Amino acid sequence: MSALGYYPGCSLSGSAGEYDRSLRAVAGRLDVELRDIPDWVCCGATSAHAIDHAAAVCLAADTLAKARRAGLAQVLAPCAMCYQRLATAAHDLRRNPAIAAALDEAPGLENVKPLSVLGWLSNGASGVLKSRITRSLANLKVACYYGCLLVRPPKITGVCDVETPRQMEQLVTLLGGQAVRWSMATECCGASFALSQKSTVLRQGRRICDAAAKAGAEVFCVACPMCHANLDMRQGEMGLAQEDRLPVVYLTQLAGWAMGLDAATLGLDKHFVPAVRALAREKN
Amino acid sequence: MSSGNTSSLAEKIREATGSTPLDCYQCGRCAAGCPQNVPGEMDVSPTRVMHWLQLEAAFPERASEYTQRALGAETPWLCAGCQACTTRCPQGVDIAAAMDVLRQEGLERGVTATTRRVRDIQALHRTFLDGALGHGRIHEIFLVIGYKLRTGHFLQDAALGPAMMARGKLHLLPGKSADTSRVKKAVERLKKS
Repeated sequence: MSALGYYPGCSLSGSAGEYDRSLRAVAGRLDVELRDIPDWVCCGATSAHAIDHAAAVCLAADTLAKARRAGLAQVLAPCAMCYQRLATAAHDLRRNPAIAAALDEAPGLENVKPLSVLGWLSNGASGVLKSRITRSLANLKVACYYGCLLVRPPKITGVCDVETPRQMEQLVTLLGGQAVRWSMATECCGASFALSQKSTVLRQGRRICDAAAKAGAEVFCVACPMCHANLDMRQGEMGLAQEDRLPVVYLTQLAGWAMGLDAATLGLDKHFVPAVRALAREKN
Repeated sequence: MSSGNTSSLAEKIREATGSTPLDCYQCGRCAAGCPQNVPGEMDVSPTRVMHWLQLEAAFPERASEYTQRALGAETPWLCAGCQACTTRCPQGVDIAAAMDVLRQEGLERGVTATTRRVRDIQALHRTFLDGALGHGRIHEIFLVIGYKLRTGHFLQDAALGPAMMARGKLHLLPGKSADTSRVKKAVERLKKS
């Protein structure tokens, strides 16, 4: 069994509990041991880098330091925001030795590698993943929604096809789903304004939902708790009638479903737009 | 375009990001791809802000006018941080990180925009960062309450809370907190270095 550092972050410890549960269940099936970073602190998210650069980089670098101390070379950060902050800290540490010094850390902290769920599943784990599939997604039409921070900016994420990424589509195809071609896969949902500037999230959310529906999607697949909250909780406020709302599921829930895990284990019953029926329907 | 005086915003952005708005040639790609550069949101386009930073550096006798325009605009605060501009800039200007610098400089100098929505956005960031540095973790219900107390938006999303709680998505009791004394010390040190 291989071990991986695990940084759940605040969202997965709160409103995005089903992302955490489904991820842990999938890791179990893939024989990957997740080791929580001891005493981890919040990554600072948008707010830290918006108003205090030093706080932003120290909060995120602290997690890399705790991972190194625990002997973990890689840290899986399922939240796209956390992933982006940890990866940005690694980038900043490379440029500025004063950061490690301020934390009383020896050089080389930047070598601890943050991993996104997308990176984890599409690189290392996809071979094993394929062997664990017991229940095909039966050509379920999926709009793969990356949002911003899983892919941008490429100097931080290392994603090369940044305007038209394909990793999530490849995984969905592997799971037996059908990834639709659509126009808004990497458009921002405005998540950082969910509390403070609602006009942004409702406008962006509606544009994203309309584009997915137009492309014939039956569900959204996401790998970010903020994208999930915005798209799942606010489709009514966006003016979409009950029958026009699209379920929003995490990539780990889709993977877990294809591995035969049940809806409750994956937290598929926790969504605002009901998701289980879309996945459970008989097809073929 | 001159290389800019040492205290210009362009120079501060270069120090912080390794890229400079002086390289911008005003192609407009940042403005075209920006989800917030639409009617009712940003007051000026990011391309225009980059131009003000160039003018600030190039015309010392009128610098203060352009400093005030760049720091007093709503645009840096309405930036969603989606990184589309940074990704697409053909000149390698890290525009999203430049917006971070403008927000922080504006706060330090006390010259940011003071519209209601900018104050709301500032209130959220402050509440969030205080929570992160104070408790080590963000407890969502405390974040919402802290934000509402700061802004007076008590009724916003009032129906969402019970619906989230019914789905086990909102926890009344705080989870674990984490020790941030090491991080707080590092922040102070880094600011002095």
